Amino acid sequence: MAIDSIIVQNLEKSFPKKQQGKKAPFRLQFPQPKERSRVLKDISFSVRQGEILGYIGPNGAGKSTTIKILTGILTPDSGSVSVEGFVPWKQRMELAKKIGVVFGQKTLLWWDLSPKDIMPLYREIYEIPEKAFSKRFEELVERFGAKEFISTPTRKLSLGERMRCDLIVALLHKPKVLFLDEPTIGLDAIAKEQMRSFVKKINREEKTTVFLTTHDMNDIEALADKIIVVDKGSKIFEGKIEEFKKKHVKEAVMSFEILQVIDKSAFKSLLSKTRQLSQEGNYYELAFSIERMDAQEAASRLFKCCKTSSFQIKEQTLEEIIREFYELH
Amino acid sequence: MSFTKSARILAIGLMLHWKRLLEYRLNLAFDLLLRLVDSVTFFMFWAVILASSNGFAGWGLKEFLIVFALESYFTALVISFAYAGLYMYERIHNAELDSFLTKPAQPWLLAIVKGIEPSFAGFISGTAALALAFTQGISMQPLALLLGLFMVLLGVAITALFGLSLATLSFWLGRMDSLESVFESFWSFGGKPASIFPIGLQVLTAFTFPFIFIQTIPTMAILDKIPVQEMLLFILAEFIVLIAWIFAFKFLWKKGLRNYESGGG
Amino acid sequence: MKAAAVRKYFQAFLAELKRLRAEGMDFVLHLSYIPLLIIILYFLWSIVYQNTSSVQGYSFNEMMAYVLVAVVFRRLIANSWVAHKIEHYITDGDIVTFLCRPFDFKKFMLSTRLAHNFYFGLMLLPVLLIILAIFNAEFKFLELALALAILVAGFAFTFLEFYTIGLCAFWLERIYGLRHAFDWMQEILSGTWFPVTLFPAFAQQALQFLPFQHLVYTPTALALGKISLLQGLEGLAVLIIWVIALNFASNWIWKKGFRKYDGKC
Repeated sequence: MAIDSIIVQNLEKSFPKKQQGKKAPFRLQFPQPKERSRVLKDISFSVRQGEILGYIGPNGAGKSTTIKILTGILTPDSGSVSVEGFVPWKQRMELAKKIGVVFGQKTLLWWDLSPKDIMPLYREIYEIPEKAFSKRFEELVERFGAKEFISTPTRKLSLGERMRCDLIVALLHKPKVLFLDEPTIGLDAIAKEQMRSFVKKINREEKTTVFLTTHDMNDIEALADKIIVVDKGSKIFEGKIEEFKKKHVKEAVMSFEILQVIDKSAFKSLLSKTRQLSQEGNYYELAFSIERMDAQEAASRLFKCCKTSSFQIKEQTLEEIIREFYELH
Repeated sequence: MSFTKSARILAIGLMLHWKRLLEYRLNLAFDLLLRLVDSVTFFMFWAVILASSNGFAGWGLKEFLIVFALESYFTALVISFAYAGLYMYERIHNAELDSFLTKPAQPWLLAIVKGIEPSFAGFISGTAALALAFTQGISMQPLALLLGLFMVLLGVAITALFGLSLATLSFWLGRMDSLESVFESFWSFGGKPASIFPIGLQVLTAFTFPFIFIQTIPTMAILDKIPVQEMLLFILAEFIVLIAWIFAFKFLWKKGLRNYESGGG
Repeated sequence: MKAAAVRKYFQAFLAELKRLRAEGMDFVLHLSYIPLLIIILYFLWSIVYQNTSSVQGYSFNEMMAYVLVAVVFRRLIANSWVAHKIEHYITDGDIVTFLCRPFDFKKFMLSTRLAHNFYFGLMLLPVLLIILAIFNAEFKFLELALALAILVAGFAFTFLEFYTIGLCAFWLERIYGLRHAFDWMQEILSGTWFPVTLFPAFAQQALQFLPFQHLVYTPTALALGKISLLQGLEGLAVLIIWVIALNFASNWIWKKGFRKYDGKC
């Protein structure tokens, strides 16, 4: 029976609204201004053990706030949260022993020293016995291919190398849950791929639950077992990626090269029912609405009126769907 | 979190900063050079004051030499550890605190460990001053000297807590670069004879910001101008102040954390 | 500098002013050390004047007037924060953003800092006038104007001084010690705690062509009618020469440091 690693119920969080306009020169910042903005509105969801959850939404949707509540940094206004059986803001230290956190923007390493230098500090913080620690450290370095640069001062590392080391630090104590906040931000395509494969590896081999927030939909496609979409503090969707796509895919794109037009009027009528994305000579890219005409119909219409080659039908990528989705909301 | 764990984390932190220091050896040289400059200005200042007045609260060069030694040790330790507490305010506002909060250790301890800046020059100048006093035949009470060093240690702990408490104010007041000015202005009360301040002020600061006493009381005791028993009373008072500051900081920290917005997401 | 560029930095200047108006608490605390310093100096000088009625031609009242004005002037030329900020820009890597944008780093820092001290100046000006009114019945307009000019030059000097110190972070990473030593040293040498005429003759001679005493002593003594206009002008000239020299030096160090940093856009 699958156990839930993370359970969130009716989570509410609001922040005082930033004061706008002119202020008196000696204004004190307390008492808190009365106006508050609700950042999280009645959020509820659960994540099974060993699952990788992608938590996505436009900027300001409340993603960072959620992850900070789950890791014990912030205290919610109301609602209940259980992470591995702990209430994060009440049992912060105990929970910290069971989780690993990587914030994309802030490194866990020290600027002037190498990642290897820093390890004893984290060993002590996580209370890992010496022998077990050495073994684990070597193992992670091997797995993530970090042997070459683990002894290089952090300031000399590339972003990708640094993130890898951050991941190693976060996994030293074999956490049950791994929280990743924008782990691939700023990385080049290869480094992103590597990052994703490492996360997937750990998830598969150690059954680590992963809670991931990201703006890169390729991360989601590659990793997430399930996604939750939030916007303006409310949960919009929870479920598998495929479900989301099915629900929200509006368009498909058909690309082909015209060899010969058999029925001119039928071809014209097809063009009128679609949106032309590009045309280079005889090469066309047409987008059409799934609601009006499904892929099969579109293809048969095309073949009836023309002789073609290099025919392709592409569904919208998650990236495109999400972008449209954000725009809509 | 257990005391031994905190001590071990601090020890490892010190070792790491020592490693950092070795990387930047130039800083060590600068540390020494600047302590030299500082020492010269200290003696110049008092030389001028002493020259302008006939007897300054009964203090002469002897007294200032001992004060200088204690002040050197105090400054070295404050630079090394106490500023780290103050600079926690920066870690609060650059989101580094978030990474501390998600670790199984006290975030303020991690902030201090990150911010340690080992400064040795003060130990050198302080010991040199004591050696000079010794060779000049100035008689010093050894017990008072030991207790004096202990007072300095307690004083550093109080200063560190003061710095940490100021840092927690930034939970409410936002990013405040002025906290450094406030921090420094309080312990600039040290290094001067306590007797120049009116009794009212002495009493007021004795149980809040005892910087007036940390160096001058031991100096008096070392030079046998006050009995060691009186010194013990001051040490007791310092202990009480230290404990009061621990409570004050814990209170501010708890309240502040609850108020923490962490950049508002 | 072209009109568009001037407008750009003026915007930065205004932005900082706006921020200061909003951060009321930070501003108040930045000045908090002034009363503390005055208290210390008051008691210090009270003791000195117990045995004498005049020190180097200053009566107790005049000395207190000096101290009050000097402390205010000291605040107006304070720029040690610049070094602190630059150190952080360098060690956090944020300095790269300046290198990749059409913003002259030095001019940007100057605009922000100018706003800061200008704001303080505005707030402190009435205080200053009141002090002068209390202690000095005569209102010497010309002397005050010259004092202001000297302060502007002094501000330029300390800005460049700490700007250069901040740039040393390219090599030293942490310039804490360097910054504070210059700060402390300047505190005495600038004449904040007492007029430089109290220094022994040989020290005064050595300091003559250094810019430090002209940062605070010269404008203060001028405002209080203790030195002549001519002496004031001499001080201004010395400062200007130093500002020009330091400007070249800082540009050179910037080039060198930037090359070493090897930052990428």
